[in-house]
Amino acid sequence: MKKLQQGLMLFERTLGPSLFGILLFIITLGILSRYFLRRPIFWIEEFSNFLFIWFCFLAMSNATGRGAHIVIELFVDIMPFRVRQIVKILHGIILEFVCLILILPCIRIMERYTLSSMMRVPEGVIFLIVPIAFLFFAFHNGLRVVEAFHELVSSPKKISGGGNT
Amino acid sequence: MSLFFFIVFFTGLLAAGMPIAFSMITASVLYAFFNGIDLGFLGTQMYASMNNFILMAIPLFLLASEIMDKTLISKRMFKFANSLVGVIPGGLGHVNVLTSIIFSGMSGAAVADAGGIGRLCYRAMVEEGYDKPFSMSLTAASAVIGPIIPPSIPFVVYAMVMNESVGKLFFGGIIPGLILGLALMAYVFIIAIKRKYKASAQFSFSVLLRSFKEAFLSLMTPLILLGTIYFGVVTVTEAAAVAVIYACILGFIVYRNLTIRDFWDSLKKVFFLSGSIVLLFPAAKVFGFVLIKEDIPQLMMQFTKGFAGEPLLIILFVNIVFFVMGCISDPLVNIMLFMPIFQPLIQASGLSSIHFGIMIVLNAMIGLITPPVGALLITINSFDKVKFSDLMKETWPFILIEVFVLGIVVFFPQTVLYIPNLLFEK
Repeated sequence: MKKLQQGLMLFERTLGPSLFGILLFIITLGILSRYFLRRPIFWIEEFSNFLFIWFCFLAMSNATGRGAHIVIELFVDIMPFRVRQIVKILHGIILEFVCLILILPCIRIMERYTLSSMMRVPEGVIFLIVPIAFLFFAFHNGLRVVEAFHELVSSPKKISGGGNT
Repeated sequence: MSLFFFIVFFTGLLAAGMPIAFSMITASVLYAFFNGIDLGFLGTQMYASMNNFILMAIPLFLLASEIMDKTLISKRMFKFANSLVGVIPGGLGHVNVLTSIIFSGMSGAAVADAGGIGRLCYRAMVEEGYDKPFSMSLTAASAVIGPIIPPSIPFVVYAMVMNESVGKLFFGGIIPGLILGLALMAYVFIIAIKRKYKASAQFSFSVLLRSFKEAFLSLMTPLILLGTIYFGVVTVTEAAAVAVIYACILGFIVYRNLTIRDFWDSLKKVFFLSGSIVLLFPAAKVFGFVLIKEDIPQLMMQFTKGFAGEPLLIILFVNIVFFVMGCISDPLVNIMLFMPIFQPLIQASGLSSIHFGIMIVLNAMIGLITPPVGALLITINSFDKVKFSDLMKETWPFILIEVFVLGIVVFFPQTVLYIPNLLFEK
């Protein structure tokens, strides 16, 4: 599973920055076409929005895998190690539940999206990144829960006090 | 699920250490789940929150500062600042503040400022014999200027949440940012006299001219950025892209110290940095949906009626909430979480939305240097081994100075509105 996660994160950190590079290129192209070619490209804004949405959801997923999201650690830090692990497992399970219950309704609602207004591409395909991202969140989060559980079970006497380890 | 349980559940998840954005999403999804709302609809809300051209400015500003950092312009700016203000007692302290002011015209994030040019200034100060805690505190305090002087990521976020003009906010931040810089320099001067910190350079017009010439092209970045926005040549997002392209031209062609590998690394770094920021947008969207469904803005309107004719009380109330939350939470989170709720308070406070925005962002940024979880303090503290209590002892005066500047900004609206009123139609 760890290897699968590494593979997924490699995929995210390769595709994400690549999309961002294309996004930069597209926006620059938009400016150049407006001022130098005197022929504005009408689909630039829509296309860059789509690239940005995919970039963002991949970045969010990758940050979930790295545990890089913003957390208030004030209260967790003063908890004893075992309590902290149990709390981590509990909210991890709740988050897992939330991520999983979102996937199917998101897939179902994709049908309601029609063609995009400028590029005339099925917008549901762009929206597909939402359920995919929640699947990725669930995967990364699930591994963190397992990891926390493993730490709890394997090192019961590791740390008995509080403090940030 | 009632509003009461929603708030209790959300607070519980926050306290339990779940990431803030996920706490917002989890509480909102469970609220929708138990109230029979289509969860797919929440998915569309999250998607819609990202479908916004202006938001792209955030990673683009991050990329511009990343590339600027890689092209070693920090050293050029340091030399220029040193030849300009290094002649005053406490020279390197002033250099630290001035480089923050200059760098803030290229970067939109305080932590990027502290981690980049801030580290360079800190090292120089310590080598020159300045106290480590003082040098750290000053580096953190001066980095707060970063998001006040344009470009600024928090201004983009505020503008998005409040549907306000980013351009006006950008120009509105210039004078408050400069006042903050001057206030910090005045304090550094007093400390320098007290602790006998000497000047770091002797004034020489030729050295100043040479360092200015070396730094000139990088110093042009904020002018290009603001000029193109002001003249309507490009949108804010496009201006951010222009800043990136300009940084690339400097790095690849002019200074020739940027490689393709560096560029790819910068893209990756921005990808990593963006993940935690952008998750806040869908989170704030679904969280806001629940608040609207529960009529919270209406309740807030009722609440403001109690403050009728007391705009000072409202300003004080809002500032206290942001200051307290700033101590334990992230500024962007606070802006996204509280601004939709506080929106009705703007009119009652008697401030314009732009003035209110600058006040909120400045207050939220002070939160970056307040304990226990000031992001800047944590970043700066990683530079060297300094006890956190010693660091805090030196940081408190800076917090007081910044709160004082916040007071000036609140009570003298022209500090914010003068430039936007001059440049834009009211």
